[in-house]
Amino acid sequence: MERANAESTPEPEKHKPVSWIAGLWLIVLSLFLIAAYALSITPLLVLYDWRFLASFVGWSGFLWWWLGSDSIPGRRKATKGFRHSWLVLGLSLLIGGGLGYVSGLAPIGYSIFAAFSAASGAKIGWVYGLRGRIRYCTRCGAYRWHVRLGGNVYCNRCGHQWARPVEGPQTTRLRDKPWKQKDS
Amino acid sequence: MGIQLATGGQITASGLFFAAASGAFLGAVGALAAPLGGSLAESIGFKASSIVAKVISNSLVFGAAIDVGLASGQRDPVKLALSGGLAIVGGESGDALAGELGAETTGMTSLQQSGRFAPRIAAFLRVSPNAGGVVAGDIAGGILGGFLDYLYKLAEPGLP
Repeated sequence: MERANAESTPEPEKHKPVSWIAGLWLIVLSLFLIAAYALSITPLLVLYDWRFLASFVGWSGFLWWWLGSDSIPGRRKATKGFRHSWLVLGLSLLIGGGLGYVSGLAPIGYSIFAAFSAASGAKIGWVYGLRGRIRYCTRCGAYRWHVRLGGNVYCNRCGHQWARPVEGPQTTRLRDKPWKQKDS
Repeated sequence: MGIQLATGGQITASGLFFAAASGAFLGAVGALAAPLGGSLAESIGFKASSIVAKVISNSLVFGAAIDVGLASGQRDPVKLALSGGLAIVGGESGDALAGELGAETTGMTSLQQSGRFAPRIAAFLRVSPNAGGVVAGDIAGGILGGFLDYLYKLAEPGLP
């Protein structure tokens, strides 16, 4: 019986998968490099145009919205639908690129590639790199990415609310160091 | 081609071949980007349908667009955007076309899922069960991407 239980219970992972964090930041870095390259080949006259800056912000906001949010089981549904489909992204690139050939609107077309790359990296860097963390999920029995929602922190796989394993006041701070009770 | 001739642009066999080949490459990347992005996202702890998967797919497409741009000597962000757009639209159209032909790839978020789809043309190329669907979508995306890029290269000299 004990043997059967031992077989059905997964062995708890002892080490945090640091490679996940490295992988995430590598993707963010590569996207920022792509954006930097796109900006480096943009003509200087266009680069300093206010329409370029305005459209850069606009396209970045569009991509931020297009990426949407991930699901948290039992808490939040993933963003889905036609408006968030690949076809919409592809068509927006074509339309944005096409504007680059329209006199007076060219700065809008010049900004789209860099804006999409930068916004892609910024979104996951913000959601998972800065506001999320890898924590041990007691329900999954494994390390998982945890994300914030409404002041709480949830496992992105099972939706289990994360709580500190040590005694102390409840907190939603996601620091790596465990909370330590001050000596009175 | 009419636009090319009307605007006095020269049509060369090598230029047309490169246009089609680079478009085919981008179309193939566009078709494979979503499931490949899902697989890579899973390898770093995210779901295959997560925003991280989408972002990895974006980086694959954008990176491929830059590669093709560099290979052809392009240094224009507008053309990079158009190449990326053509890659995604070509890839999406390729998936849709493959689906019409019976190879189900729609909704597939990772390459590992290819083995779980109901086999239709599973015997295609004698690959794993229904992984042929992925290959078919990729090929169709490549062909459509190549065709779209070919049309774009023809029209390009006529653009302002």
